Amino acid sequence: MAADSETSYLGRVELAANAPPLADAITVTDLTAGYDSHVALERVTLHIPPGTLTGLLGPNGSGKSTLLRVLIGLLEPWSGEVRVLGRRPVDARPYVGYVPQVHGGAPRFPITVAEVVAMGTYHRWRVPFRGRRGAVAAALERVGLAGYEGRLLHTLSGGQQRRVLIARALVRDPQVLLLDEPTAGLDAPSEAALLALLRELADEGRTVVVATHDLAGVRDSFDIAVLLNRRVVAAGRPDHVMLGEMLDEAFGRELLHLHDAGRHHVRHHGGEGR
Amino acid sequence: MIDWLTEPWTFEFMRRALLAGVLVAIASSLVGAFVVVRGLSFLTDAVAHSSLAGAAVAFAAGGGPTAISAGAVAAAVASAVGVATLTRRLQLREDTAIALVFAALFAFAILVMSSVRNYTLELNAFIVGNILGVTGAELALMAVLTLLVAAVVTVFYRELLYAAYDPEAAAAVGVPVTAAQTGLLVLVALAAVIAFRLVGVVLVMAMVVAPAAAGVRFARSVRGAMGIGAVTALAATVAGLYLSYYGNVAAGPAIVMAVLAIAGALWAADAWRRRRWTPGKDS
Repeated sequence: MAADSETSYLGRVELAANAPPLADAITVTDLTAGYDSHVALERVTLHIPPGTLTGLLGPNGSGKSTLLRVLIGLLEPWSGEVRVLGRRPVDARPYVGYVPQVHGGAPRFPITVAEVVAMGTYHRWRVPFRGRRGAVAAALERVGLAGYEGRLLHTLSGGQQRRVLIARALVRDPQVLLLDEPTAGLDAPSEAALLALLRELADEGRTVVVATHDLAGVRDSFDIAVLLNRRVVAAGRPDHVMLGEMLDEAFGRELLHLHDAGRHHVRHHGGEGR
Repeated sequence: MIDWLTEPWTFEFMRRALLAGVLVAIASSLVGAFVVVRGLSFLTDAVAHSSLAGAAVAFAAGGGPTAISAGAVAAAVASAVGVATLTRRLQLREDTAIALVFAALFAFAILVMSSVRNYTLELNAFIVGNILGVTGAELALMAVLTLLVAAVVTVFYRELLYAAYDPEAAAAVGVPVTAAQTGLLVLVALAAVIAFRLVGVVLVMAMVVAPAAAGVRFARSVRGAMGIGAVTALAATVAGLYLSYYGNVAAGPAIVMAVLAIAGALWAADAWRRRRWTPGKDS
């Protein structure tokens, strides 16, 4: 299998035959980006259709977070073109929710859950956000934290704080949702609940893109898997691209180690490379 | 007893000192709450010291008290913007940039002062504070600056809060984070200039940091921390002025001692409360 020519796995992701022919929610064409002189992403091309749940998979340093930061407009591409909902990332922001990997607040920052979630309703030109209080309550209910508005953020558990940050992204009623390792550090039930929520959000027609290490989760409930290792190793339906040699190419020895531990069951050679 | 309480305020200079203290309490707690949550205490100290450079130049050029204050404002703002620029452009750590700017401007201030033969009371007032000698014109300048600080913090509260709390997520929702962070440094500069007439350059940090730190400890929001900080600073100003009047000691250090005593008492009470509540945690 010609795994070294990554273009053979690229191109439009084929969904179920009855999927409506909609324009892509996210289009990335020949993107190269990085920090200072360090190249984090090289010639990445991706098309993500609306209403899909996409997992970005790859080892640490493979560019997953960088790709999300480019998609939300926090990082300018060095070259290539990025379109989110047909707009430049910065212009698409009102329709995009972003959940960063770690939040920068000091450990005892005096801020309530409601205030954190309301941050998602910010508008630079003071356009009023109608029904902010109701929207905050609804977003919290969505992540299973109804009634937590008045709690101080730093008194919540790590998993609860993570869900508050997801509520902050949801309060904007985003068409596109970008999450950076939302399940890291969560216990199994919380992780399952979160994956179910993401599935639900995608089924409502939102485009959800998740950087994650959770191979099993992506294989079982995601529509698209993107194997990233600075370049796109493969992209497509999880059962088409999460094959042994592509995973090996994306993860290298890191994944071999996991094979040995028997914690992931990855199918080898399905013969359906594209 | 009533006489004992009212006697100090029969003097014009004491009433002016109190008014100055009120302005300092408001400005320093509005800015101090952000200083504490962002960990910018060292910056506050540096900016206060840097402002001396502008004051020294204005003094050497023969300027009066208002010109000296204006020079201090200019140097303080320049140092704050300088720190922001060095941090971004040269990608220095913020504390490194602060140290460089602080050293450069403070050394320059001493240099200028040493060249002036009749280095006297006027500049001395900036170093250790001279609230009892505050003039009407200085009071007016302090009031204008305090109003400016209050207006900016009120209008841009969300920007300042979000940029301080989570810059990455703030930028993602469109908060102009760089402008908010630079703006906060300028606010720190203004608060330092407002406060140093009261307690002097050396002790400005105490007025900006201590009341706000007590506030942050107890408040459920940055806004609440500002309120608690302002009340703490006001109480300390009044207590410090009494101490100064009846103990016949310098007002600035007396106010700072009072601030630290009140803040210390609040922390002790909080620690005691937490120890008792430990078993139930935060339920």
